[in-house]
Amino acid sequence: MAILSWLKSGQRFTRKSAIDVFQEFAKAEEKRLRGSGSDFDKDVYQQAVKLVLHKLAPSNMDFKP
Amino acid sequence: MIIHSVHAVNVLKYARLDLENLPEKGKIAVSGANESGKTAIVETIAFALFGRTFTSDHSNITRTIRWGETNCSVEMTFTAIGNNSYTINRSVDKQGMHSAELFVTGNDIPLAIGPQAVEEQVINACGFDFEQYLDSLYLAQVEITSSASQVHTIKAIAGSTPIEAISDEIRMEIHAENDSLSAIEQEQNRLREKIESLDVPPEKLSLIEDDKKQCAEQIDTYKDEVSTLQTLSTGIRETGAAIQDAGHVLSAAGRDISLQQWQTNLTSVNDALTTMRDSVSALEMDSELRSGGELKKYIEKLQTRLLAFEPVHQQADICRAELGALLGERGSTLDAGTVPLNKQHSRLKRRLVLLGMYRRSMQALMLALIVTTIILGAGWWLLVETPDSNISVQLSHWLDQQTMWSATYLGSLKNAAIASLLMTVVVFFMSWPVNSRISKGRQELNQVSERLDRVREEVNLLDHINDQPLPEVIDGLRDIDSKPLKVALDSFTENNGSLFLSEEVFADHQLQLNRLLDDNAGHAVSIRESIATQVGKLTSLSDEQHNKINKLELEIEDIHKRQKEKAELETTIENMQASMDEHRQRIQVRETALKLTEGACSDIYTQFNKVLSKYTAIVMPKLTENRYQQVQIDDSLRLRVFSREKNDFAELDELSSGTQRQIMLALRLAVSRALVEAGQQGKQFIILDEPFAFFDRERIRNTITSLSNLDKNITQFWIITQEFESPEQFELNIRCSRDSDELKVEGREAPAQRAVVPDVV
Repeated sequence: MAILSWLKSGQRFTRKSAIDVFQEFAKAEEKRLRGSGSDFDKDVYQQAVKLVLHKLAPSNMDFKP
Repeated sequence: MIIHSVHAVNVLKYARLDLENLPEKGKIAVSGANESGKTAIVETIAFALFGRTFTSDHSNITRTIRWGETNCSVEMTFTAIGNNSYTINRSVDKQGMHSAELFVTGNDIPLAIGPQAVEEQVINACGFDFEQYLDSLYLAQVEITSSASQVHTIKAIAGSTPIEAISDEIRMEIHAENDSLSAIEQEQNRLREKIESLDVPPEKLSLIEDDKKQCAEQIDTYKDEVSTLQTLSTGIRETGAAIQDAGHVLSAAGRDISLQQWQTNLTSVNDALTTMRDSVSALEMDSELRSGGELKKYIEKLQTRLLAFEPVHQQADICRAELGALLGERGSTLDAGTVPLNKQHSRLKRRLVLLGMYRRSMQALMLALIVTTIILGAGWWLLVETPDSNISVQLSHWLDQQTMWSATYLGSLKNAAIASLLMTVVVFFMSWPVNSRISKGRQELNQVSERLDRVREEVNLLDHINDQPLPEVIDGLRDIDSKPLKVALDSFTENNGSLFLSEEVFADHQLQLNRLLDDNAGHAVSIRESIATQVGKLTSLSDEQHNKINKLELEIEDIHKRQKEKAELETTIENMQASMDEHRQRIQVRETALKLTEGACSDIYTQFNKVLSKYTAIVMPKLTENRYQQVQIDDSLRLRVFSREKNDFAELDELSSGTQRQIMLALRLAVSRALVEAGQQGKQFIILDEPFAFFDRERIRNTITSLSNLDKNITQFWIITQEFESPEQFELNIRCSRDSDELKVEGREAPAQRAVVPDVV
């Protein structure tokens, strides 16, 4: 938990917050899914992203699903 | 963060602990036998920084106080981020009074006062809190040897922990959503079963309504029937009373009542009996009264008897007409030559009046003649025979005064007297037959009068033949001189009229009538009882219908209730469906989110592998004498090490225990290095608690040697072990003793240990 909170503070060795890491991944994944031609529910996907972001940063109301 | 000095009083084992001039760079050996106070030193450092130790948190911090003492205190000097130097003072007493102050070294004004404020400032100054201190800078032996702990740590270091935690959270949410969905589905199924149990055939309500309507109509029918029966019963009671009244009037009237009274009484009884018969005929009941009963027959028989008087009545009418003619009533005719009695009577009466007048005239004349005779005779005698008497003189004198008188008339007086006398006799004889005629006329008049009176009486009788007592009428009719009438009377009295004439027959009649009246009353009572019974049955049937209606209404109410409940349940199911859709949507979102977090974690692990490989490539060869250089962590965080001998990655289990611990220590140090480097905290101490268990001597020596070159930022190594074979490898040796509760060490200027001898305590 200590490391967790430490990492949340932006001091991870990757020098990226979990939010940044996740957002980058989510963007790349969205691009991949869109390009794969498979069924892609944009609305569900965006809600899922918002949900995770909200959980990563509950205080940020913009992420609240 | 680098620790420069620690001064403690009554903390844990130590009554006094003084560590002064600790080397900023280098390895500090803390050695001693078990329970000699090695760990107490690093716990004192933790207590100084955070007001708690590995074994005592804020709630039981008084356990930090040395046994038998009332308080403890510590002062520690350290350098933290930005190369700032701080001094922290902390104390706790047995009552739990906890005080702390943080100073910037050289400054007398505290930077923070109070445990909470000091802890916040320590976190700001050092860049880690207590938990972080434990995870990153204090490597306990158990942590080094526990793969589970490594997994956790590696995850945290890799940066996946928050996302992993979110994955776990999302999994739990999906599980919870599925549970909720399942619960809702179960509830839906339960409600559907309940709806099925509540289902009512659509036509049932209509059928029940029809039944109810029929029952209501049946009740109305019963009500009408009861009303009719009650009306009939009332009518029968009243009619029965009327029959009894009329019957008793008839019975009590006696024999001496008029024909009209007989007819009236019989009509009253008969009318009442007819009404009774009509009333009873309306009933579907067997009763004597349906036909009127014996009483009606008897009354009809009496009426027949009265009708038998009709021929008499006819003859009486004929007689009445004849007598009316005799009386000279208008519209009636007599035989030619017959004078009505009233006219006869008038004529006779008028004739008698005339005869009387004639006779009285004759008598007056005769009287006048007698008086004249006497006067004339007396005058003559006085004047002639006794002329000298006074009376004769006075008479003569009076006569002389009369102008009409003459003396010559004196001789005629005698003749006049005689003529007057003769005329009196003539008049007498002339009036004699008149008297006879008057007497005869009176006799005739009396006869006519008597006959007229008798005729009038008979007429009166005939005129009131219906009003007079029948026996008297019959007797009176017998006196009327009419043969046909007599024949009719005889026929009546000999047959039907005996009732009206014979006391005995009439008495039998009364007895029979009373008996029949009693029978009739009995029948009336009986039929009213039957009606009452029928009314009771109808009322009972009506009550049954009412009860049936009540049951039907309950059924209707139940059906409405069921329909309402069913509608509510269907609404609930619809709402549940919406809720289920919502849950499904949430599950879909979470499953997508889970895929994303898992993907993100996988991505992180991939990246972390690269980074970890980089650090372990630096640290591990130094600790393993270049035997192992690379480490690999797969997606499930299994640790594998590249073995040159194997020329492949080996599972950790394939290595010896010592090698495992060596690799784990290398990994942990690599991680610590990564953390310190990432945190940009500057110089940093690290505590390794018993890191060399199962290490051979060479391996220990190599490891200790390697530590100095491990990382440019990790400069101060606190290494705790029971004994070091090569103390010269350390910049400072702190030796702990079970027998001593005081420890004083001063470094740098005098690297050699200067421990307080045990007997000082």
